[in-house]
Amino acid sequence: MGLDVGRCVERLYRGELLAEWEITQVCAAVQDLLADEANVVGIAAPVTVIGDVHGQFFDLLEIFAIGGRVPDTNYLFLGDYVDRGHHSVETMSLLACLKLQHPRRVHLLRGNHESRSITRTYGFYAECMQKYGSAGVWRDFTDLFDCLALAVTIDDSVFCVHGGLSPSILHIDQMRALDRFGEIPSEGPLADLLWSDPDPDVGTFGRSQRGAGFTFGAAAVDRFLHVNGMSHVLRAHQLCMEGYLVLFNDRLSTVWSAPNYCYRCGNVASLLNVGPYLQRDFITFDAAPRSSEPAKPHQLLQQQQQQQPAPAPDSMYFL
Amino acid sequence: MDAAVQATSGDAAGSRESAARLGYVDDPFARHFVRRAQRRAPLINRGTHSRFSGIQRILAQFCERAPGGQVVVLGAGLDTSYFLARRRGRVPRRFFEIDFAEVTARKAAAVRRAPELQALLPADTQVAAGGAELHSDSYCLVAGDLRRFEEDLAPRLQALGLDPALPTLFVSECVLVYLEPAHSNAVLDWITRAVPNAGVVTYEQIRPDDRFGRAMVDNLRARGLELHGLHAFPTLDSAAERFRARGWHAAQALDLADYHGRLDPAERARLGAIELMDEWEEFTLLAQHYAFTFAHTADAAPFSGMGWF
Repeated sequence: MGLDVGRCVERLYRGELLAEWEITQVCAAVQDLLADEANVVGIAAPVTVIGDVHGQFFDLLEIFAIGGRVPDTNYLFLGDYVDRGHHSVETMSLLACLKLQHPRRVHLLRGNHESRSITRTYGFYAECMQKYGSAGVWRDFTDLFDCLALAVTIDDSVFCVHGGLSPSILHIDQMRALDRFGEIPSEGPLADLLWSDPDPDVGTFGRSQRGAGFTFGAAAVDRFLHVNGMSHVLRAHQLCMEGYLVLFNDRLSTVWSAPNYCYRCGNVASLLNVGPYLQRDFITFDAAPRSSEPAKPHQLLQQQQQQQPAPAPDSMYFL
Repeated sequence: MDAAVQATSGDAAGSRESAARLGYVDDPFARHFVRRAQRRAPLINRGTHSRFSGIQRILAQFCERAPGGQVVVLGAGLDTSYFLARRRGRVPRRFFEIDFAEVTARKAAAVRRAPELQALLPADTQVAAGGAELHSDSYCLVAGDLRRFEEDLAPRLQALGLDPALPTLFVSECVLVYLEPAHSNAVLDWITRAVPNAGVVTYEQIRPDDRFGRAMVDNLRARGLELHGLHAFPTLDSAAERFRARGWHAAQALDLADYHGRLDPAERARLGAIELMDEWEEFTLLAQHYAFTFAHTADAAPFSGMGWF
């Protein structure tokens, strides 16, 4: 077969790109793994939960430095691995390889950016073309995205999803019945789970200005938790300036893990440690430093980064 | 640093061209001022629409109510407002655009290369200042440095026909904020003294002191752009107060997020249909760091009663 996942992981930690054939094989192998995962996967605490990463590879390495390396720490990623940041390929490659290497220690949910149409607009497709010269790698990854699980439950008590709740879904069993293996539809329960947002000004459900999903309020959260016998909803999907946001009397938390998002937002990020008794502990962190670092695994990538010009403000601001 | 500020005219032109090409704004002339068309991210296109809408609304109101008035655009860059006004058939008596010679020369050259723009220039237009300026009785493109407004620009504008007795609207889009307060204040002081019936509309950055604002200041500084005026007028209140403190009759300020939120729902729906924008938090964050102000010296037409909402 030729694929040495351990070596791939080492090379990826150093910021080296995998060869196209390696990505094809990794993606195919991960798809096989994911095909056996249910739509809603049950896992046990303790686990460290990560929100949107959006191609911010240095910051992913920072997450592993703070939270501990796989497999010493269990990780649950809530989706949105790609787009916006400049290293979506490295980010997704590393996460896919880690999943392959330690499938019970790493869980990857699907975010609304794990989609063909979104990645064509928000950078991942362009990055694949730029780094590999063809769309093959993008096709491999987007085929993998089709297989990612929709939600996770931690100790049958904490419900984890990328976006939020759906007016079409009251009981988790309804999620188990969905056919998730394909592109995210533009509407319906699958879209809602990946696109919805909490809103304190809404009772149960309301219209979302995103054009997909809904807004949902305290009443919807309380009802969902009650019906399913759960205690908390964890999700990502929305930028939090302070790295995280807790709503609805501690019934819902948003975790956001991309610091200084798009090099522009100036926000802090967080990772969430869910302890063995389901205690929740947010650790906040700033953007990883990119210059004059002592030798570290990602030194090679940093050197490459220093040779690149700083992100161009003309496409970031209204000048 | 001047070179970096001058380069922002190209960036603004690029954003306008992207928004126009995609249908956010109706500006068929933007393409003449861009060498290489680039598609901006949806949130930038959305912001360009709000910015364009806010400024054009004030310009259109002024031209409608005061056909005998004057417009002076400070740091006009490669903006197309004059040509858009000509297309609408609603131009003021005189229209002046001012920028650094490097920028006006570029603008004049682009205009001369485009037959549809040439056709909209007044018949008596002459090229001047070695190609850096265009002069006519009703439209002038003038090269100069706003830091020398009183001693150099003001007399030259008057020599070209600016009549301070006429109602005059001054426009500044991301211009005054790049000047030290002493220089931007000098411009406003001259207007206060010399133009009894003046209006000013600005569009500029605000709120440098939160996380986003600090990141913005750092990012722009890394690109050689210093927002010298930003800390002097960091809030909506201080932006409006700067006019009231000069004894102007009225001043209002609102941020771009607020402006966008108050657009007609049908208009917002139209924008949403152009392209998916999955960047709402960032759009709001970005738009909250830009503000329009509109102020006028006298309680008189045409400015009294002008505004956005």
